[in-house]
Amino acid sequence: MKKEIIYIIIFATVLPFAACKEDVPTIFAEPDGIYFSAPADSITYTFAKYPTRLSDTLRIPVTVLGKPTDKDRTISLEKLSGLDINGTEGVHYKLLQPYTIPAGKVSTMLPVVIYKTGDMDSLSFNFKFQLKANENFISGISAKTSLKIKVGYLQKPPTWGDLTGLQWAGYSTNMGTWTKTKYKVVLDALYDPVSDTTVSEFPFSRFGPPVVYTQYLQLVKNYIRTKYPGNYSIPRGIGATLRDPDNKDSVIQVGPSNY
Amino acid sequence: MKKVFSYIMLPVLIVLAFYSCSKDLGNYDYTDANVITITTDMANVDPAVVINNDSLVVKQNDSLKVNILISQTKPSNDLAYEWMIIQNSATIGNPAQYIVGITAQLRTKIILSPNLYKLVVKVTDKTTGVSFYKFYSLNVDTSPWGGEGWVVLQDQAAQGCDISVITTRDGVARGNIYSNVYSLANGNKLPTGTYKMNVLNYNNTLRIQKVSFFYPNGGTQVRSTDYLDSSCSNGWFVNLPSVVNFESTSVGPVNGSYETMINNGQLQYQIVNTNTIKTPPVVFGAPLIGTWPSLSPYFMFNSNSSYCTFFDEVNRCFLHINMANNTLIPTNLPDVANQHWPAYSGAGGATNLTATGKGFDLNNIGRNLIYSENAQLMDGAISAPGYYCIFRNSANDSTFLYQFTSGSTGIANNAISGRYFLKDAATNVTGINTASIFAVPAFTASSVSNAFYYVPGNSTNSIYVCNPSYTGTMPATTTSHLGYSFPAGTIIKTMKVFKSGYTTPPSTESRVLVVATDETANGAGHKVYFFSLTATGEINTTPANVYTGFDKIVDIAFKKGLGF
Repeated sequence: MKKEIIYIIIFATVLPFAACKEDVPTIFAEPDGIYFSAPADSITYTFAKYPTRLSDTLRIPVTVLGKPTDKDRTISLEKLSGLDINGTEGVHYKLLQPYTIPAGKVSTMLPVVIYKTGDMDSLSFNFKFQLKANENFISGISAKTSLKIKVGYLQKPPTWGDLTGLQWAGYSTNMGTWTKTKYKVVLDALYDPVSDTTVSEFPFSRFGPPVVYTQYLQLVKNYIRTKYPGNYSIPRGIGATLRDPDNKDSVIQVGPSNY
Repeated sequence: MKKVFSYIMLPVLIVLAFYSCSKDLGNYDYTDANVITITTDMANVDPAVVINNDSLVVKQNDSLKVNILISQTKPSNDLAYEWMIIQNSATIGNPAQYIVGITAQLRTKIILSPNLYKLVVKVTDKTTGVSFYKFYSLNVDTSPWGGEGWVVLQDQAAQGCDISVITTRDGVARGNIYSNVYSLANGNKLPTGTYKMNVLNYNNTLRIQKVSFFYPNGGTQVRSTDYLDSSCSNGWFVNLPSVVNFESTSVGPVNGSYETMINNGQLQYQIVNTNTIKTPPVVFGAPLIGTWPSLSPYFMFNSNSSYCTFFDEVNRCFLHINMANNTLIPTNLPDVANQHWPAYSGAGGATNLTATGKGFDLNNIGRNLIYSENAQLMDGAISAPGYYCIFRNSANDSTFLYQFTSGSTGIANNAISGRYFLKDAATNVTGINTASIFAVPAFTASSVSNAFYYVPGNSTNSIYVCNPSYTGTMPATTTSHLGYSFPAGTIIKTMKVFKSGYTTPPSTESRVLVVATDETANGAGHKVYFFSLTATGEINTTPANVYTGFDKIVDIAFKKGLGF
């Protein structure tokens, strides 16, 4: 029995030493990876924000999962197809291949030219790219090796709302029901030639919006009154008049809206 | 196996059992915390700064020393101190200079803008963690000319324009004159041709005051405490107007939130309140365009909201606008010139609108608005103060007074009285057809003043007092009389009734008439007179005070003390 106790004590003494072993750092020997470093899995662009532009260049961020090297490294990018992909290369967008990660860098922007086409009045277009493994890179973060681009123009902003809703733009005292024609006149009215931009998005809530949006509403109203006096004349239609084919040819009035 | 249990496991279990039980030595006697009382050490402070136990007054950029006395119920030497400056109103964010000291006695330099703040001292007993506070009212003062007084805009010929400040409220106490204070702050003069000076007081909890100047094709805003330039008019608008012709500006009385401007005949406004200043820039919106080609430069606010009445000087009718949502009131009528109000419905019908009638149709005044000013105190208690509106026909041979009652919604178009024909005759209202300088007192909040002042264009050294009346044979029943006459050759440049903008009006509110004169023809230079007024509007012919030494006076304005 004594022997058993001695064995137990020896075993208990040796065990802690056996459990401890120096942790030697592993060497990272894998090839560099690459991934899209956009904050989400898609990028949305609307020409509504830039109503005078016929094309624009998106800059898509990519990042290397690894170290910089002393020479440029080619990136392989391919377009994907699918049920939700309706954009056509050469019509809605153009890739400016070849794309490279410059020497000494671990990130870059891939320029993709997008075009405003006539069909964007009624449709938005989607296209999707995939980063492919090549002699320089393997796929980086698997969830970030593909990226969807959504390009539109005269689509109803998600924050517009409707006549009786809680959102600001569509509420009856403001812009009213969204239509393509009305949205186009709003974009034109709020266009700022200095910044070459317009206001295409509006506050989510009609309660306590930033005061500047009330001022925007008056700018749109003044634009319509000045450019289309027939929209406010009594009777309507005296002088230039802008009617809305998307709403029974009604004249367009905002602040308050007539439909 | 039994032995293994006896020798190894059992002792371990016994030791564990003892280890898990120990006597609770906690203290469950409740004792009072050390209570600290903070007071001001009045014996060791500058009495000009530390006014009393709770009030401090310090000039901007001066040092502030405050000594406190501590009494404790359980004296402790382990105390922590923190001095903080916070806004006087809880609705505004803390100032940039926030924590100003962590020692028992405060020694700091105050670099805050002049205004009213609160100084807080927090004393914490570190043994208990319990803190005690004392609040001071901290008034950061400015140079004498940056405070309350009458600002006098003067034309200095080729040099440009500048301002002087008379540090008096109402002329009762004689003030000092500080000259050229604009150029003193900026190193240059205001542009030649500066024609108007504006002092606007926003909501008093906001504690912001705006001072601006208008000149041809532009304007400048200055800091109200030292007149240093703060912005030019290019940055005042959401979209810079194509034509800059600033005619007038004002801010809604009492609540001081809606700041209005008539630029080139169009209304533009901005909302200045605790919400909007959190999302700058706060700028004038786009003009409210409607059937009115041009508005008169007069604002007839109701007492404390967003409603204001204007006069369409082309269609010669009144308009009533709710600036909270840019809508014409009443809202059920379309924007049609001369039809913004329901059809006239005064008892007795159209007879009221004839030459011998006393009423008027808001849709069809048919005359030009020459002047408008409130004739009833606007203290917020009365929501619809009355305005005196002076109208004249296009041939300039007939002048009328209309008493217009403002309001929010529900202003009826049914006035059967309030229109007075001011016949320009020696026995009636002499010189009224040539008058272009007017002033209207407002004695009470409950009724209009029944008096106004005018300077005939053909007798520029005289102030007449006119009391509208229906006593006599219609239509020319109103008379006026000479209120005060300056020496022959004097030209009255401008005059204003003292209307302070204080939420609680001082006793001299609207009881002082301030008149600027050009007496260079008599070799007496340019002067500013303060006359006291009686309860019925008569002018005390002995001026309360006269100030001299000005250049050619263009405009005068009262600037109330900041933070009041």
